[in-house]
Order: sequence, then structure tokens, then C-alpha cells
Amino acid sequence: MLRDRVQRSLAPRTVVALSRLRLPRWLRRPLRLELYFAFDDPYVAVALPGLLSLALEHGLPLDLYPLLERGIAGDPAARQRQLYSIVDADRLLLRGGRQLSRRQPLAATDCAFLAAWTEAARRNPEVGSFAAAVVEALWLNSTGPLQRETYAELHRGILHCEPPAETEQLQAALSANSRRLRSRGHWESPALRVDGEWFFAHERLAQIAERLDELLGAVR
Amino acid sequence: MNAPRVEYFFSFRSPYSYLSAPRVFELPRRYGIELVWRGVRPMAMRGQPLPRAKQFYILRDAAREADRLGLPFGRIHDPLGEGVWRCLCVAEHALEQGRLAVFVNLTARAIWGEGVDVSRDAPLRTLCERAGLEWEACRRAITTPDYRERVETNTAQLAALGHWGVPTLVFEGEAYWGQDRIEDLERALSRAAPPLDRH
Repeated sequence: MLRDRVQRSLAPRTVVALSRLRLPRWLRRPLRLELYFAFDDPYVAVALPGLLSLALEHGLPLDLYPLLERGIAGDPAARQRQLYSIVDADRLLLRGGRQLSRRQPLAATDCAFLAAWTEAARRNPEVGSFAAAVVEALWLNSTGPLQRETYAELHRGILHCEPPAETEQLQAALSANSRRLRSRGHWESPALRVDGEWFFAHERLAQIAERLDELLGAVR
Repeated sequence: MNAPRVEYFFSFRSPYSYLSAPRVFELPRRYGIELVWRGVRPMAMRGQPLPRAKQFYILRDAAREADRLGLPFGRIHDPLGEGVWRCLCVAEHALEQGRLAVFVNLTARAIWGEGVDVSRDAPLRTLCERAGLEWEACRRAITTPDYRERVETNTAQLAALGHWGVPTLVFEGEAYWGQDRIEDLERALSRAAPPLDRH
């Protein structure tokens, strides 16, 4: 009886109540934007450009955590989600007058080199521009198999160096990104963490903007 | 000419279904569509995994969205199990009585915003009567096998569409999943038939 009451009522009410709590300014950590994303996820074509604009507008860095592993283990709807995400991402882009060019899903392995290159460039101040250019080329301006040289040119043009070899160390760093995502309480791409709060970035850009205004307004 | 049809897949256990309901039930008046009710079993009662991280995210995000929409949210009583079945069966009866929208809006709000335990007779009776339904008829509805069968059919239809989540709206073979995708459906409806009344 008590257990039933906790599960049905007390636990969900507590989760909601805690989510509405706002820490006093002096208890807050410095504001960081962390985006966990997969290049094979079409929603990134909506989330990344929008977040880069918001980060710039609010004078905040956007830390990128590329993922190879994501989702719910054993999810029977995984394939359906993958197919629907293309239709849905296309509709979200259409709100801003844009469209996906790619209509078939990609596998994480197709995009593994892009995740590795982005991870390797983590400390480069242009990594956000590079990732955005990659996403644009990948989802808005191409179809079919990935042409590695197209992305290598973007790497050279934006990051001003040759793409790195995909070492075991980079693979380990990408796995660590997935573990970090899960240990902090999320499971999917594109997930943005702001001040301890998670947002699915492709569908909550307006809410993220409001939250940033609120957080920065409190600090100003 | 027949009115365009929009199918509405809904679960009483889904907070996003609750958030969608007031806007979805306005669509017939605004666009002259026929809204086809498809009450379904919740994900947790049809084998979809729902890890804790996802449960927490849904609650937190639904709270933000409810605040944005001006709907009460947070005093929750999870209806999983018998509570869900009772609401789904009464909804089928309410549909026949022309009281579906009022029953669904009131009941979903009671579950997600007012902490009402719909598995108990007394609070469900209050909701039914507020929705203009006779309690004795609702009590019979709860044990009517035909209504449970309809729910099973609706649940199978959702799966057959290649969909798993709710709320899902289907128009001209296209599915729109999520309370925040109603505007995309409305865009499609506007193309098919201009709005009748935007007020």
C-alpha cells in the first residue's frame, strides 16, 4: 500500500517539485551548455545551428560531446524511431523554411569518423562551426553514402589542419561521452544540459532561450 | 463531401496526451475535421521499455510544457493498471454519449494536475458526473468487454502504423507524434482545408 502510494503519487510529485526549484545565485555553478549529439541523428540538423546561435547570443560556450552509442537498450521501436525521426526533423526544419536532403537513415558507424574528428577538435574554438558545417553537408546538402573527402575539406577549411587518425584513444573518449550522458541522467541525442536541467534540443529551443535569459538575468 | 478525418491516439497515462487534449479537441471546430478517438494502452502496458532517466525527463519536461500552456501539473496519481482501463472504457462510453472531450479533459487534468486516484469509484464517479455522464452507465462501461476490445484494436492500429508513442495524430496517412507537433498537423490541415474559426 505504502509502496504503491510512493510509486504512483509521492515519487512523481517529488520529481516535478524538485524540477521547479531554482537554486539561489550563490549556490549555482558557472553556466555551461553541454550538447550530447550523434551525427547520424537528423534532429541535430535542427538543434545544432539553433544552439550555436543561442550560445553566441548569450555569450556562452557550447561544449560538444559527440556520441556513437545512444538510445534505450532493447528498444523494440528503435527502427521505427529512426525512420520517423527523418520525417519529423524535416517538419521541424520546414518551420524555418528549410528541408532535409537525406531521406534514408544513417548508421552510427557511417558517421564514426565525424564523431572522432569532432572529439579530437574539442579544444579548438572553431569546433562548433566545424560540426555545424558537417551537419549541414550531411543532412541538408547530400544523399547517399558519405564522401569522406567532402568532410576532410571542411576540416581543413575550418579547423586549419588535416583530420586526425581515428585512434583507440578517440574511440575511448567517444564511449566516455556516452557514459557521461547516461550518468548525468539522459540517454538520447540531441540532449542539452543547462544548469543541471536537460532539454531535447531540437524541440525545445525556445524554452532553452527562455531558461538562459532567466539564468543570466539572475546573474547580471 | 465528407469531412477530413484525423485519428487521435491517446493514453491517460501519458502526460503529453493530457497536454495535447484541450488543443486537439478544438481542431474539429477550427478546421471542420472529423476527430476519430483512439484510446490506447500505455507504453508500460505494451512492452515498451521506459528507463528511469526517461521517466524523469518526461515528468520534468511535461511540467515545463504545462507551465507554458497554463495547465495544472504536478499533483499526480499514476493510473497505471486498472485506473487506465477504467478511464479508457468510460471514454468509449462518453464518446457514444457525445461527452468525450469534456470527460477526457477533466479526467486527464485530474490525474496529472489534481492527484485524483481514478482506480477508486468515488473520485471517478465525481469526474463522470461532472462530465455529464450517469455513473451507473459508466460503471457498466468499465466491465463492458466490447470497450476493452476497442482499446485493444486501437492499440494494434497504432503499432500497425509503425508508431509507439502518444499522443499521435494521423491525417492523410501521415503521423504527427507529440503535443508539440500539433502545429505541424495544423499546417497540413490548413493546406487541405482553411481554418473555419481561429478564435
